[in-house]
Amino acid sequence: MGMNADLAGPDGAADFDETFREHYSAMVQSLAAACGDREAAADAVQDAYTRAYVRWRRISRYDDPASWIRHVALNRLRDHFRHEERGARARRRLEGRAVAPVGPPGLPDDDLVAALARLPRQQRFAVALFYVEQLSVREVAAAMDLSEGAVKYHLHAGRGALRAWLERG
Amino acid sequence: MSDETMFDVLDTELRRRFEALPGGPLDTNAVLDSMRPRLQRAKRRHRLMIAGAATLALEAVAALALVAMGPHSDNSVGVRPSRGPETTTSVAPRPSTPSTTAGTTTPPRTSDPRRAPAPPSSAPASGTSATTPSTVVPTTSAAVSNDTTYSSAGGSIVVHNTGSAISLVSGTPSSGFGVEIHDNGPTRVEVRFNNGSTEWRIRVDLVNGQLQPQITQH
Repeated sequence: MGMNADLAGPDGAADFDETFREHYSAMVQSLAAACGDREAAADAVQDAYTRAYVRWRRISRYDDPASWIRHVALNRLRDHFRHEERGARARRRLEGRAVAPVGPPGLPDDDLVAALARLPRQQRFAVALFYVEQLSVREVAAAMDLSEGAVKYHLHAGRGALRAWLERG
Repeated sequence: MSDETMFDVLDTELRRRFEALPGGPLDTNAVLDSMRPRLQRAKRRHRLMIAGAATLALEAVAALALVAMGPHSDNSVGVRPSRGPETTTSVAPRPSTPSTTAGTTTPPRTSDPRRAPAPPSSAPASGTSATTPSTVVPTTSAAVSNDTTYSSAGGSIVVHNTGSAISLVSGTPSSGFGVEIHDNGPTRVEVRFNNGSTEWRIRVDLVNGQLQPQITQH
């Protein structure tokens, strides 16, 4: 069913739906794996699709509209967790006690997502986009707004850390 | 085992494990349907934002245009409050070449005192008839704020208004015209410009402190 969006145009609406069906699920899964919070990941991806929808006439002409959406979703997710971390720091200051930062809620320590959550943020996103969404290095670089070399570096470091986890397990 | 081979094996294992993560593929159709109201709202907000920005831009352009036009866009006569001393006038002879001049009455305008004719002359004083072209010039500096210029095809005059009396500051005939000062205050100033065939009269009356000009051709 088309979105019948004036901004998108009749054909663009169908394109939008198609792009959504093709990429939404994989984006949510990869970002959820990266951040450990499936709900936050889904919110970020939906927000990115909403922003794309109102600008679809322009974005649909891009070589890879999904890349733009993924990039926006990633930024939204980063903003979300930055905001969460600021809030947590403020609460700790108010409570007058230093509490070690905790990871996203609901992560079991003994599974792969927990191992991923212990990686630095850039490595986490690079690994999640590469392995969960199965993007190429170039696509990961576009989504993260990094050079391909930087993505390779983060992937290498992330894989090294996960290898240790696999060998233990 | 080299690092690359090691990573190949690791890649395969990581891909397998990530694919096995719980949560599987989502029902994207259901998600898309649930998002439709949100998408429509976002579209409306976007349109409103664009319309608002366009309105602001138009208002800014209009404001800039008004500023560019400035406060001097009309040609109405402005008679400013009286101040400064009364001005006396004298008539200076001026050479001219006779010619026929046809023209229309032009609206009076406020004079620029910096452009008033400079040298006074020994010509007869106002109130006398002169048949040769001449220029009426002030013998003292005129007040800046209450001189008004009136123009006709035959020439132009500058009238000084104190609020209770008016007087002729200067009269400048057009080429080929002579000037005759018919009245010089305190309630009426009348100057006639004649080239032998056509006479232009500029009469200014002071009525209730206001100047009432009348420019006619005879």
